[in-house]
Amino acid sequence: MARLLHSATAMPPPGFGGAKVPPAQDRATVFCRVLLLEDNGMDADLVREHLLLIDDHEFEVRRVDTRKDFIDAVNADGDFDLILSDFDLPDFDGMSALAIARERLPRVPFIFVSGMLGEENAIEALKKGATDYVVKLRMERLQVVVRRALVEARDRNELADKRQALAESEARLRFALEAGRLGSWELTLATGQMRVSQICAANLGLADPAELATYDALLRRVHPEDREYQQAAVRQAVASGSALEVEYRTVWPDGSLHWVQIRGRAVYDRDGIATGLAGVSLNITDRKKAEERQLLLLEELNHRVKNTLAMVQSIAKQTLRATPSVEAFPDAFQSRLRALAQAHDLLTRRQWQGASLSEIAALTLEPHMEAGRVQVSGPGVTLTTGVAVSLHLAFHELATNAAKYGALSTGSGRIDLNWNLVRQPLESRNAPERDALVLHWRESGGPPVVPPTRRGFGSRLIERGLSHELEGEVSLAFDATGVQCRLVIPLSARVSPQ
Amino acid sequence: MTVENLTDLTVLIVEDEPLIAMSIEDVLMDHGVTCVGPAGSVGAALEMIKAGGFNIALLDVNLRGERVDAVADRLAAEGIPFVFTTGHGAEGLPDAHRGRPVIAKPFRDIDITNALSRHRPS
Repeated sequence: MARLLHSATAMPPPGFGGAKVPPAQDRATVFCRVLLLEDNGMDADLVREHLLLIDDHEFEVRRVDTRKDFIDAVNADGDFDLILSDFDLPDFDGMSALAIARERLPRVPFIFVSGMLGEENAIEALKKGATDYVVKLRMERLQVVVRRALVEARDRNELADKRQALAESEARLRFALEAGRLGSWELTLATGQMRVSQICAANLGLADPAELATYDALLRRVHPEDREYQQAAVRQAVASGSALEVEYRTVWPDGSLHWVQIRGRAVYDRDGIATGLAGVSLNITDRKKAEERQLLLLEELNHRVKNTLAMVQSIAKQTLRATPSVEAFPDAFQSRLRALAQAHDLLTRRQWQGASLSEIAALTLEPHMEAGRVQVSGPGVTLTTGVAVSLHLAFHELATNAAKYGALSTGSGRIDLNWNLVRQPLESRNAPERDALVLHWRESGGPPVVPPTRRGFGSRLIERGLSHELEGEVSLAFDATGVQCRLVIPLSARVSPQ
Repeated sequence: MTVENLTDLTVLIVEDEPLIAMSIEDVLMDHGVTCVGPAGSVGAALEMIKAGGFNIALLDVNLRGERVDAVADRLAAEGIPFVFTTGHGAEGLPDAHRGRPVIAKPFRDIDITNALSRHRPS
């Protein structure tokens, strides 16, 4: 509100017409800070007077007359537009002042104003970087010299500023391109000449950008099957003015295959004729590999889900066959389903890279181990996922049977699960001697065992399923003193020592 | 569809998952079919083909991460009919055997018996 009020009062009422507005072409006054090194007060005044004669300029003169004051002024407050200096001073000399000024304030014009300055000194001074000189006998020259020095300095400094800004801008762009691993490129359509950056060349497996001096040279780096597609995309971008966006494969000189993504746009002249294309390139090999991996994983997941469904179906059917009554089915089925889910949990924790035999044993037996009813021991053995699931389901069947009828069904029984790596020939095949995992499940202290009249799901899974899965020997015995199970599994990539 | 008599068949089961192999065995034995196998790896399957003694095969497409192409090739070369079983869908089949019959997992009992009666050796 206050501002509104202020501007309203500041504006002359319409038609008031009294005040004279200065003509628009009047130049603004140039304000200049001058550092004047002069020991003689009268000479200093003379300089001031002559500066006053220069039109459109207002000078603020700071005079110093000693070496120390000059250096302080240059160091502490370098914001000068002009330095005027005497040549001879009691404790100082103009050439030293010039040297200091050139080092500290290289952009500020430096003019000698001196009573006497021989030709030799004048030449030497100009060589060392003085802008000009004025002898005191011809002080009227000062106006012209100062005016010219200021204009030239302003032009020179503006150009330097622009160059520096441009260099900084280019450096920032280059930094961004490099940080983003983006290569840059330009194509001149009339000649087919290309200019590419180091990264752009590196994206195509080349160390030297000069190897991609033409579009034809570039095309040779593109995978033969992608060349036509690449060229069509370029033609389309030139013809339609739409963005060029294309991904293609490139074969590096070492024969390896990589993916490159290109983004660009056509460049047009004043008549709207396309003269070239320019853009960036990015190595997207990692992304492409990740996409391929993801596709594979999805397929693998689909396969695994279907396979798991088939396993669940199989467990359901076989549990139904083996259970004596429909009432007994849900409990038996759900318990097996839970065992399957436990195995999946463990394998997921291990990124489906397999599991160790002791982990698998603990999955089923841990509660009983803590109660001191089950003792488990054996060296480290790594199992692949399929073997881990099968062994876990087998242990689950053995443990369930033990809890219902065997060693874990009374307070006094116990189970010993031990394994060892031994060198032993397989009995049933004429295979050469090879290392094997021998695993024993021994129940003791339970009620006398009555062998089942027919083999149930558990027995079948262990005897048929395990021997099939492990390509080994499996024996399951219902000894009167306790159930004994012995596995002899040849070591392989699927069952290996840790 | 009434299931025709399959008792004259001997089937080679190539399947790496023991539970699924057992389930297939159950179906086949219920119908009086004789079973050979199961073979759980490409190597084991090729050995069983060498030993012979069967006249049709059920073939899982993927055995412990290994494709079953070599087994299919050998069966085709020997003129023994076979049916793929797979959770992958038709696109997972070996290129040379895309025309072969497929049973999708999970399957019904009748899918197995139908496939065997349809594709049994003549």
